[in-house]
Amino acid sequence: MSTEESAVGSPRAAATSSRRLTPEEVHDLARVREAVGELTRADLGRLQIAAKTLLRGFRIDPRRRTHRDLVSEAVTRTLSGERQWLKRVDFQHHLFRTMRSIANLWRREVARERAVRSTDVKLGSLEDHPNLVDLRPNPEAALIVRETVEAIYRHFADDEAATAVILCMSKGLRGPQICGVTGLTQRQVTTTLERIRRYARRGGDNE
Amino acid sequence: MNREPRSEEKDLENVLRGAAEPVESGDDSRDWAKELDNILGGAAEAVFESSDEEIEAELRSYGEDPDAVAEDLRGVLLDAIDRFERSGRPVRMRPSSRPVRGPRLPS
Repeated sequence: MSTEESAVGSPRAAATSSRRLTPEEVHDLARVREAVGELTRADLGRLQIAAKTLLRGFRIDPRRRTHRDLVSEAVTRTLSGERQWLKRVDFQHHLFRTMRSIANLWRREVARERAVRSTDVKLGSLEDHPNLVDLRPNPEAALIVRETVEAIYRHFADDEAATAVILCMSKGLRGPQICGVTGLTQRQVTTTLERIRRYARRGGDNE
Repeated sequence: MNREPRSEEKDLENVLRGAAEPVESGDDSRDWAKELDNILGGAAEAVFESSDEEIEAELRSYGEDPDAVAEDLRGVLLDAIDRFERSGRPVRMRPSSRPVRGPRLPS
């Protein structure tokens, strides 16, 4: 590809792009577009389900971010280099890991902001005090996160198997390990995980 | 005769004890954010263990059409790439192209 050609990554994008891209940038953009093109219907379905699950509790988000914002932000962070796409990781797993990290960050951010709002500090809007959320110690933020976890346990309180699976997951155990510890079959664990995702969708997205 | 609990049983006891005690005692040392990430992240990550058919069935059970979901999400991904390109921000996917941060150490 010539340098002239390399100035254009995508015709749509190039229409308003103010900067000539290097050949490496054009190559990297093409690589990501190609990876998106290779995602199957099921791959994209997985990513949508995962994104919506990760956003549990985001109806409280004042910015009203949705799973689309999460997916979009994952792409932005990949292209900007904030999250490196390792060659040994396929694109959908990379996107998932990036989304998980962003969702975790957003969740903490939202909890902090809600906590600050609830303390009646009478300092005007948060936008006037961009550093406030990072500087103030706020046990209220931890309480909001704790309430979300406790709500999950409460929802499944009548189901012993589901509670055991959630307890295991909260400690970072995964499928086969959960089967080993609880004595549940893989099918039972899979069904429980699907129920957690279903529960998460109901209280998650801002749509 | 009392038998020694198997290691899996001990693990479960530890897991159950570790999760349950702080709730009752009000222990503030419990990392709730980490737990929430483990639960939601774990449930989300498990979609990669499901077959294509199971994923599409799960979507349908939510009342969603897998074709429409795929088209929508692919559009979101491509739009994000286009938007980034239009923004004029440098594409920094290669480790060597990352800016060096912070002062250099004296040699």
